[in-house]
Amino acid sequence: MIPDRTGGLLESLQARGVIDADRRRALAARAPVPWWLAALLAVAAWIASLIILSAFFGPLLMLADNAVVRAAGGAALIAAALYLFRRESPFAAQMALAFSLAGQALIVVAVAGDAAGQESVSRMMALTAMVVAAGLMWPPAPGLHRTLCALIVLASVAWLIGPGSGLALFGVAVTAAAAALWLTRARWAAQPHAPLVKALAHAATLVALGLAPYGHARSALDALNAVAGAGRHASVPVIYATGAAAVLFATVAWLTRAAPAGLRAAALGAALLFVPGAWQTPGLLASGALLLAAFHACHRPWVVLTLSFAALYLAELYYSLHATLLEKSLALAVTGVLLLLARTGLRRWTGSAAWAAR
Amino acid sequence: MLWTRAQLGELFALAESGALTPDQLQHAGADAPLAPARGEWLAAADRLCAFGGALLVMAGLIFFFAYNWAELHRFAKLGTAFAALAGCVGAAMPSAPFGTAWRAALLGACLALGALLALIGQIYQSGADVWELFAAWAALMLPFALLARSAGCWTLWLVVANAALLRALSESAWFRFLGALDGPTGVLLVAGFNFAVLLVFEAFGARLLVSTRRHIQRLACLGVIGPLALGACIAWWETRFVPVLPVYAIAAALAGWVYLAPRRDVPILALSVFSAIAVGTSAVARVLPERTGFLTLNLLALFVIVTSALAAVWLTRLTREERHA
Repeated sequence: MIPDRTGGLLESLQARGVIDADRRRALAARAPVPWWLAALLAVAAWIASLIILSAFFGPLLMLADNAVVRAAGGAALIAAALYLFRRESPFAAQMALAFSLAGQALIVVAVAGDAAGQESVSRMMALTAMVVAAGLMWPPAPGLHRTLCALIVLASVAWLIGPGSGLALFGVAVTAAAAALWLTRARWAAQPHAPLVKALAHAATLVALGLAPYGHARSALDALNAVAGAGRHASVPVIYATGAAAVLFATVAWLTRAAPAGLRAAALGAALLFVPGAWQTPGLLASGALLLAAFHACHRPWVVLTLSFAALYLAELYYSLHATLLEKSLALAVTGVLLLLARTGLRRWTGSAAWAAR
Repeated sequence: MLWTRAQLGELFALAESGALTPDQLQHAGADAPLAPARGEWLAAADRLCAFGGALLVMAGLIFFFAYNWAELHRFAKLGTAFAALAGCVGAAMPSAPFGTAWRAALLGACLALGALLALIGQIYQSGADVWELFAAWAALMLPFALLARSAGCWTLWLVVANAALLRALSESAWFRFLGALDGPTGVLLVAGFNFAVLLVFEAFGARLLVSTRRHIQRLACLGVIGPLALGACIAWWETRFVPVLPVYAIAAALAGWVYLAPRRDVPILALSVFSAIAVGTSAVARVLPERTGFLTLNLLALFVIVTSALAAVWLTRLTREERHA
């Protein structure tokens, strides 16, 4: 018997004539390492990498701690990482990841010199990090490394934009890009550049979900902004809410483009009804759009994560100052009841017989 | 025949890894669309509306009580917690025994019980230590876990029972729980408790759990091997931990023997092997003459790399054997 993946995928592919028996056997042999073994190997690889890094760079930086040494050390580490990435082993991949991140950090620190705290230098550091990480996305490497590089690129862009309306627009644009990438997964999945696009999709989704609380009305981030001395512009929540609502509406419209007119109108109407309810918490609109897109792309981890982020936004709502706890309590309870009523309506509309077996 | 959502997820992942050409993916999508079917969207919407609706109503209630909490009489507070507990038990009663609703309702009852005990402790300020709260919670939760026979309930029970034990044994002001592992006695007691739990689940797992999955056995094994390996690593540097070393060696060898042949469980084997690598690394670091030198550090790294690579090869082979079986 040939070992198969979840749900007999390879068997189905062979039965439909997509692959032959030899190909099926070859694909079955390429089954990925189980997650728990990958996690244990990752811990071991990171410990080994940290020991090697401290053995080499501790004495080196003690002897000559200047920009040239740091940059040369960073370049050497990145070269070692690129070599290790070619070896198809989970252990080597994790070591290479550690080397690559350490190398990138050394190059960024080399650019900063001794003036890391200054505004112009921090922008230069962000620019360097963005360029180096963008360059490292291209060579063949595991998806995790590419995703982390894409995250560094997006985080650097956010840093370069700085707080304000621009950051809100960036957050909305990243949300839209993430949704678009997941919605079109079937189109790019088999293309040669698919690993790169997938890394971008992962990074954009994480940045979109992580940045969304910036658009929340009187969010806990206000306190952080006040401490950092950069007050948030009043336009930010409006831009975020409008943009996230547009992304959600566009996602629903795209998903229902081939649906019967009645169903399409109902789905768009539901999305429209959701917008005013979540206006003060645009993260819910963004996570709603990304949830739909991830579900369409059949990406289960992001389905779970978008729901988890939505739960976090609700938890953050507890501390937000735009309404009293009583008002928030009523809003939540009413929305909950509406959802339960929607479920009842959905069951009636689609026929109770279809649900009897569930 | 339509693709299931799980199949589609794997199909896309296969294509993204370069295993399928664009033509092959197009071929796969010729008979059935490469998107979730209408039924799957409806089922997901149904689940989202049900869970989301219930969650929001619950959150609304929590916010409402938080708004009025200071003014509420203690009986009202306790009544609320009792109502939550009774509601969960009441929801379980009409459900099919051992079904999803039954297990979910009893897990809710276990959580509500913890909230009720915490509330009693807060209102009456009995002077009890935190470990007593956890111990009482674990003891009172036991009937619900036995009734539910769910991995979720047993996981919660095991975590709470371990928390009670760790908190009772810890004398550290900073590490209220992990401080228990600061001495060999604590290490051995925690490992011993988890070993007892492991034995019970290995012997009566079929009666205690609905599912045949081995999450609880693995968690209990982590509770045995983890503290013992930590103690064994320290034993190379501190003599008071030396008694832990032979106990760890016996436990790791026993796990290797039992879970390799009679009850094949590769994740537990992996845990034993990697814990042995950690203890071995500590030993190598101890016996090497120069502890912070260039050569020592690189030899240590080499030891970790070689042993981990060998372990990975062996464990991957075992996993493949298991898949073939």
